[in-house]
Amino acid sequence: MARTVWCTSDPLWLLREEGFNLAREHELESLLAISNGYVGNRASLAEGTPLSSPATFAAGVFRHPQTPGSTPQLLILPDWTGIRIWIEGYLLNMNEGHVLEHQRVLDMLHGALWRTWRHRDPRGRETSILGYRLASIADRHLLLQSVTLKPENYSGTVQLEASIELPPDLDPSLPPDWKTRRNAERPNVLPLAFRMQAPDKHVLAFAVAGQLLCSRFDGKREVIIEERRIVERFTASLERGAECQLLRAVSIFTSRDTNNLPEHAVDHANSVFACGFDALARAHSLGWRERWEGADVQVEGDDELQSALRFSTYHLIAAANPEDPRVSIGARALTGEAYKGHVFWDTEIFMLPFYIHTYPAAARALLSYRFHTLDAAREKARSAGFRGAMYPWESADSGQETTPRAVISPNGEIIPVLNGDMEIHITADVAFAIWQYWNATGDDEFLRSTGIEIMLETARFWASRGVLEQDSRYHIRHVIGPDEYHENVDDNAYTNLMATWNLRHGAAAARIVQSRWPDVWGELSARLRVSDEEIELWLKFADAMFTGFNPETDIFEQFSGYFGKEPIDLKSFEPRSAAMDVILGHHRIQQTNVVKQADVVMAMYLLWNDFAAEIREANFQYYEPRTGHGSSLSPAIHALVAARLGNRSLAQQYLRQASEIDLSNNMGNAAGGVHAAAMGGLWQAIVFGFAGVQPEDNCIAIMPNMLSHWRRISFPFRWRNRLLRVSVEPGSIHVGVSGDGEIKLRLGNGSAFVASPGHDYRAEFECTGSNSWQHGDTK
Amino acid sequence: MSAASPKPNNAVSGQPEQLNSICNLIIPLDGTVLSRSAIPVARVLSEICGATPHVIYAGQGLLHPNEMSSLLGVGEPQLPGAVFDCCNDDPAGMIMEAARNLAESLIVMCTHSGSHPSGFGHVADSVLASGPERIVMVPPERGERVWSLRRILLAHDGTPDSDLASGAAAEISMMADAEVTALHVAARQAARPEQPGSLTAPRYIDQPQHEWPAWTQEFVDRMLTMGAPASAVRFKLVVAGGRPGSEIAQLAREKKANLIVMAWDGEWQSARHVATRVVIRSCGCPVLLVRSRAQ
Repeated sequence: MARTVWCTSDPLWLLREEGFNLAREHELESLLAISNGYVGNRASLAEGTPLSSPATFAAGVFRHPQTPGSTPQLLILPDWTGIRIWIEGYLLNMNEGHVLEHQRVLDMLHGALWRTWRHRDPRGRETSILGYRLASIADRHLLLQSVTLKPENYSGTVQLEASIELPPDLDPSLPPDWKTRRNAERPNVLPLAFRMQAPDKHVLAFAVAGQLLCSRFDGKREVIIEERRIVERFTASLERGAECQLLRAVSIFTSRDTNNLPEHAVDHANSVFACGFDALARAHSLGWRERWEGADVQVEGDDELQSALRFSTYHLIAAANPEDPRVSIGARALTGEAYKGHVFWDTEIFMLPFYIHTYPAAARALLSYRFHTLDAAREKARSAGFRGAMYPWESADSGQETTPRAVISPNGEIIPVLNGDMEIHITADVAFAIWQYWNATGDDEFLRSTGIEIMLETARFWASRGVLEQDSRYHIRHVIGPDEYHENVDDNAYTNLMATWNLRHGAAAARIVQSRWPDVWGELSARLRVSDEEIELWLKFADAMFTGFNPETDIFEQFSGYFGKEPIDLKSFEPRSAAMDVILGHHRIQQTNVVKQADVVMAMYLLWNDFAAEIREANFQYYEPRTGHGSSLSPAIHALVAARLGNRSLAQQYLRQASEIDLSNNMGNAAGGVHAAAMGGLWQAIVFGFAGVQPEDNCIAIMPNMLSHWRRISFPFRWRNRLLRVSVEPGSIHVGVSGDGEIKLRLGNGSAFVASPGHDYRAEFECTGSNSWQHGDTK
Repeated sequence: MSAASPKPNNAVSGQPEQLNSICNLIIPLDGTVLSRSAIPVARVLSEICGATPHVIYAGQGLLHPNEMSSLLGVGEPQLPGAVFDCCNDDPAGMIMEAARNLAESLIVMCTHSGSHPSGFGHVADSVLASGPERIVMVPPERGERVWSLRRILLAHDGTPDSDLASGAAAEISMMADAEVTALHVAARQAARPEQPGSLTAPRYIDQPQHEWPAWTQEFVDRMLTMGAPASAVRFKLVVAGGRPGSEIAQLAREKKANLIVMAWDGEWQSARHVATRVVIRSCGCPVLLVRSRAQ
């Protein structure tokens, strides 16, 4: 039987898991998950195992438990992936009989999950199974699933039972007519619609269209509708060596999308076989290839890193949906329940650069989430006694603060969680991302309609959050910086530097809109009551900001009092497999100088051109040995900064650590979902660190820092509606420019020059004499 | 995964075998007072498991069972239904032979009956060096006080091998209606275990308010699914940081544990078992070692 979808054979595009190790099942479900940004599905085995956690999530669809202390969490939708196979009444499963071969393969190039399984049952019957599933990127409401079965050494009766089933903890109210929506004209389509109980408002509809293809199908199809599941059962007699294939198309719609959901879903699923299963699968595959065209980073000379990069890029592509401006990407994307789907600074600071420079439409949609939740941020600021907009540390669908107030540690200690009140740097992070997007895309319409309001309201927040104290310095007290080991500190350097940036760029954005679109400014300034005097005040506070910088040492004190903390020699704890706060304890770690993750170093990276080279170097040298990397966000940023500073061995060490965060098979890290921000960090480390791309205000600078065993790094890079094809080799930089209009480039340490579309530019490093880069037009 | 690990896990490995019920207890005694500390422990285990106690005389010379009973001071009141076996001149060899020959056996013996700087007598050391599948080491300090089994401390290092110990702890806890506290120690100067499927204390805790509930759930899910029947076991998880041996011993004392259950690889002389030695020497309660299947 012909395959309806193709799978690449190039190992660098495949994530392959051989055999079966039950202990790793939750991790594998996350790593091999399929998603299209609208809906995500964990890679649970279709027949289930004792450790299976099948789950399908829809972006933006949360449930809101009413128990005290609970916060919204991504809703687990009905499981549509269950397929059980009986051979002459024997249920095929991994725990009985003998598994002759078992392999799961994520084809990252085409966004499809494959499974091959050869099984000998206790009676000696050998059956081979080939399955795949995908979440269509061409039609985000569509999920496809296929199972091809072949009796290898017997003839007999085979039963395939495909189900769609409500998860155990879901107690929806069912529309009264949900069982009767079957239509004689559409006999292959089975609908399942349900309404969440109050206070959740969601109505969800599924429709499944199934078809069994056999060379000679003389069996029967039964539909069993039970209270919590619908089962479609196919029975067929198969000759030895003859294949049969079950094809299923699942349509998902929610009340966030449309009205008349069940009809919509049924019509949609019904159209699948009219369009042709093959054509739909092919459209999906082509959609993925197109996305890769604009995103693939190739590192020649390091296959292991190449695979890890593809893995990260795959999940980043899979997480975004440019069509929905009301959702953002949670910390674990749509691959797992952990972190409840909550959105953090992860999106703006770690993931967004990938989208800005590979898929600007997705970046715009993600930032629009912050616009749609701006009122909630205003309300948070107001209720805390401040002005402007204060973005929540964690948020879900409404944009309200969703950080839990406490956590019970594994040994029973109740630890208050202060981040929701104190980790306020996220407000500047959002503004920073808005500006980065605008600067990189030149999307003026976005700035006028969306970005400017956020820039103003966030600047206004910072102008109210701090206090100009008697020392004539502006202080921001009682905060938590990215280094969350130290809570309730004063004047965290990262927070204050980013607040300064926000105040200045809020003013700059105001001036831009004021001068370029006076009518927009007129309406906005009147509505928000922003005056010139207020903007001047922002600049005054920015100038007066206390940053803890010591000009004698060139070092920022991470927060007031940090230098007096107990010094800890982190090397004496190596080799180490646990976070330092686990080893030292929650209370002890706060008394030490151990830094959780890049904090001052993060500020050095984000505000790179604001600091002299010796300041960047001094702060990295100071803080790197004191950083415990207790956050998955930390290694990639350290790899990036180390690469830019030319410390290649350290950069390589951190790059490896960053690439292993989800993929190590002995950490169990990914059981609750992949670390989406770490993936964005890995992309940034390669592109901005090792390839040395530096977007500036009106120029793209490239200063590579290659590892010695790499032959080439190449990638596409979008910049102001131009596509740059960047290729970096030892001693040379090559940039092909396409699109409309000229842009400025600076290659190596040469001068900036004007580059024209349709031209290729090359710079060679001359290691004699001036040690300089010489560039030329190679068209 | 193949992307980061050059050696993919090719083995088809499902749930480990459950610990079989304990049918026979082997209790080596040498006639000293200290060796008798194993008797109260063996008696309770015999009762809750319905196992037959086999007393092995590990002293000098061959004795008739009646003489043994008399010499050792062990009769029906101390160990109901005990079977007496005499030893040759190789006590450790005979103990191990009995362990092999008696179906579903468990050795219960004291760590030493004389003065030994290491804390382990010659016989105990030899038995442990032979890598028994299941053995309870009893500290002689506890004497002949009545022993009860209400609180079990399971030391779990996060590897699938430790799940076998989970199974043993679960089985005994169900028979004794005891509660189990599983302790995982995040050790300093300890590399990540290489065994695929290991889950140690998290290396990254991006946000404790989410990471801890997720990690705890995953740890317990794996421990129960892989090693222990999920029902009827009262498990509580504790994570501590520090040196494994002393942390386990300390928590055992704090929790007044009656029994510690640990997995081991049967390589008693290995440096890996420094922590195991520390636990047995200093925890103050019997320690059940369960050997992983790889051995």
